Amino acid sequence: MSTAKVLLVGLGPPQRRSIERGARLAGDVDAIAVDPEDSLVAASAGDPPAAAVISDAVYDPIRLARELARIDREMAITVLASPDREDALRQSLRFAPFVTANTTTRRTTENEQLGVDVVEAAHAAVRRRGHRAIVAASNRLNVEQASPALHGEALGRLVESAPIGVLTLDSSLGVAGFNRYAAEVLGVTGSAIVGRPVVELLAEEDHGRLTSLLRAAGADEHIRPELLGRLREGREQFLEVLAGPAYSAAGDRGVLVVLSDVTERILAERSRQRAEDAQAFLAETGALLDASLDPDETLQRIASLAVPLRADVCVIDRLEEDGVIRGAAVAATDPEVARRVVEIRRHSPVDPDGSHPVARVLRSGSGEVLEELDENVYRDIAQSPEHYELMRSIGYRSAVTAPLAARGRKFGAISLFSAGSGRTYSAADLRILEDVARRAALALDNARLYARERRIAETLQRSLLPARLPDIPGIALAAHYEPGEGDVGGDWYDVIALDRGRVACVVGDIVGRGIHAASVMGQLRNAVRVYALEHSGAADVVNAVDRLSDSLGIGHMATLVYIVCDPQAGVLEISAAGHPPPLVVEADGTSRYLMVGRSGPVGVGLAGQHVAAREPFAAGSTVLAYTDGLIERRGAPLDEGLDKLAEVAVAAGHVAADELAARVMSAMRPGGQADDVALLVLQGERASARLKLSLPADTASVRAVRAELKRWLGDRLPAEDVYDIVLACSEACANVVEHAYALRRGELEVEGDVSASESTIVVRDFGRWRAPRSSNRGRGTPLMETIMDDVSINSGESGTEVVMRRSFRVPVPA
Amino acid sequence: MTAFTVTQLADTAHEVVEFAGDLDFAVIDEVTEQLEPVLQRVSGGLIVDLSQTTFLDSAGIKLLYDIHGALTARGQRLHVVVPAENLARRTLELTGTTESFAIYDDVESAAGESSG
Repeated sequence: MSTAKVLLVGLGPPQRRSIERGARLAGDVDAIAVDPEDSLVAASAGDPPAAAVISDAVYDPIRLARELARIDREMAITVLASPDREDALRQSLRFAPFVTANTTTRRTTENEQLGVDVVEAAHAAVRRRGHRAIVAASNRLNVEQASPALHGEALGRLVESAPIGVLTLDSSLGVAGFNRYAAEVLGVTGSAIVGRPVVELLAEEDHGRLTSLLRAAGADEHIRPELLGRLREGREQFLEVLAGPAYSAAGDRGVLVVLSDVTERILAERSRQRAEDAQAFLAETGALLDASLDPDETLQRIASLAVPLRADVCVIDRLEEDGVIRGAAVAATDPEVARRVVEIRRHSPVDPDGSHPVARVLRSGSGEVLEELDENVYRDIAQSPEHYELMRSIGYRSAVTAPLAARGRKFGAISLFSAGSGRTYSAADLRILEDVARRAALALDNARLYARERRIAETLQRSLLPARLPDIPGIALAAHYEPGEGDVGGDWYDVIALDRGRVACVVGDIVGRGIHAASVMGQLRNAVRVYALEHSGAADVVNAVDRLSDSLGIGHMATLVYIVCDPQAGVLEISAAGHPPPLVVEADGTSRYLMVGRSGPVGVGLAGQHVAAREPFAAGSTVLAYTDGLIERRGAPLDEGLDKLAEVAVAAGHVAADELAARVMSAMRPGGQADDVALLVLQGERASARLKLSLPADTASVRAVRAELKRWLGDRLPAEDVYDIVLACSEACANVVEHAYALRRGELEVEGDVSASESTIVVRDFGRWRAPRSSNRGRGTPLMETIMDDVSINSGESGTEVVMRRSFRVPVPA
Repeated sequence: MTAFTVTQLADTAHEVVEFAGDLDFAVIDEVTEQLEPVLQRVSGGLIVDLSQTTFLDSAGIKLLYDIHGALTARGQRLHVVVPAENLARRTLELTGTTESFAIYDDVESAAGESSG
């Protein structure tokens, strides 16, 4: 095992010392440099590169992304981050150009252990080369306490002025001595307290617990800090108390009490707890609002929450868009009652203009309490004789109804009924119910708005993705976009046909979600389209896009990979800006990730620094470009996803591009995933001995036939032979276009077959072939005959077939 | 597409017509129409420059014969420029056209030959 170097960037002295200690425990540490001003780049310069430990005190996500973009080495990076910054910094780590990284979070509080982890990560990076181990520690390191050795008077002075309460007790737990802080906390002055039992001073209640605690301390037991709650001048006060045995100068045994006023902390914790409860409630509501839950299910849950705590029967009615009132959710202590209520709502719906409380509440917009229900009231509000009978048999005693209304919209009403429980509702119950109803209505409205926003974003997203991919000779293309479960993301793909049979492919990912991300995606996509046609170099395109995103002030980080494929030259040019590497699967089943042409993401001020690299592109090889949602699995290392993708793509074997894309999607994303995914498959056609083209019989098709034929024969024959055969075939096709179908539309079929010794071309039409009318059109056939060894023209009822054959031989000099 | 340009060659009475791209049956009608006024005004001779022509089919050959016919009727000459390395020259060879017209490697030698 080689030795590791650990470089600490921007760490405070206590953090530094802790890590140094831990790193030494792990051994094999070469040197520990400390350079708070310097960047990560310095750490990567050594050989092997140093492991870097950085702090969020000096690194924000943008600085981290920018520096990572300049590192082209494998190295271990540990980020010390407070929990609120952890996610943002982790995002930046993901965008490191050479990331095949495993990001591991250690919520380490043991400082030495973190030091050990740092060194292990450094060793892993050196050993594995292809991987970078990253440890993100969520907790700030504990600051070490100074422990000055103090004696005698100095200690006495220190204790007197210390911001912590100190009390000494005699053996009967009476106060013997105290410092200033203790007096303040206890709210006493002077020596009036000396000799008084401490339990009287400390606690208003629970003397017993405190007494036994202090007795135990006096009896030499170890006492953990205890929290005491008391009322001081009518206010709550919380004290943290530590006690232990103590001896006076004379050797008398007593108790030392150290106490601190933690009221503020406890109250803060309490209010945080309350906020957390509210948060938890919101989170639960959020879960209810999840797209997979329909509003009716949400209402059913609310109804179930009300019974039996607040009602014997809870009914939630919805006001439909057409003005009809429909029973949406019913809960009752007796399931049979619930069933019958559901039935009666279906049988006798509430008349919106009638006297039923739900109708009244919906009209007036304010809730109602019916304290006492009797048969007269039943009769008054019944929607049918059956309804009346039902109310009578359930024996409703009291009712309260509140409208479900939010943001000026009425969604329905929620009603509570009491029966067997004998509860009588009051105005106070109405207030609580109105509160619940308001929340429920907001939830319904949010669901409505969310559904609308999601629909808009999805429509936007879909409309921005190409409706179809272009036809590029020699290349098969397939693409997939799958939205995630949550908000629509900003993933996109695009294919742009360039000149000379080249094609540009782009897959990108806007950091962020929702309509905004989708519209940013639209801007960048169009930018790529324009620059792809304007610039010929891949790096130029990415740099131009980055410059544009700067000048537009888009304010979004984005990653993208831009690939130009030239199938005729057999070359790929790749520029990857903070994006996961494309995968290449060769015709022989080997695979590799293209870890070249890499730079940092777009939108962090790297315009002009993006690079590109060229790679061979062989016939029959396949390139997969994708967004990170395809390979990322919560809790799993990133390279596991990369390995799996390669495995799946190789296992698919020689399948068509769209089949490969479908297989990869289903294997990598068996269920719905939170993140959206874009996948683009680009496949160089395998050199085939046979060619078959079927095209409409028009002039454009003849040009396409020439291009296809030229490409097909390109590698097999000398350029002159290719030209000759293309010319002969073009003449035959021209005859079809000009003569076979007169003015009607029809098909043109071309088949080619080539062996080592000869080539056969068949040109077929399904019209009526007429002999050339004049010598004007007559040159074509003799030319065919000059070029080819055999030309036979077979005309029949169903069409005409021209079969041309040419042997390959060394031409005999004339 | 076939790009069609006409230039008056300096210091000579020749006009140069250049075809870039595929000169095939698909474009022949359009090219014939565009050539009409050029043929009308030519006084010295016409150089058809096929240096930038990537493909030539029998319809293209027929066009050359038509131009040749029109010019000879007025006592003028057609000069065809196709560099030896241009594959379009194959069509001229395969159709025996090289026997019928004067073929040159570049415009300068065509112009020099015809005026000298």
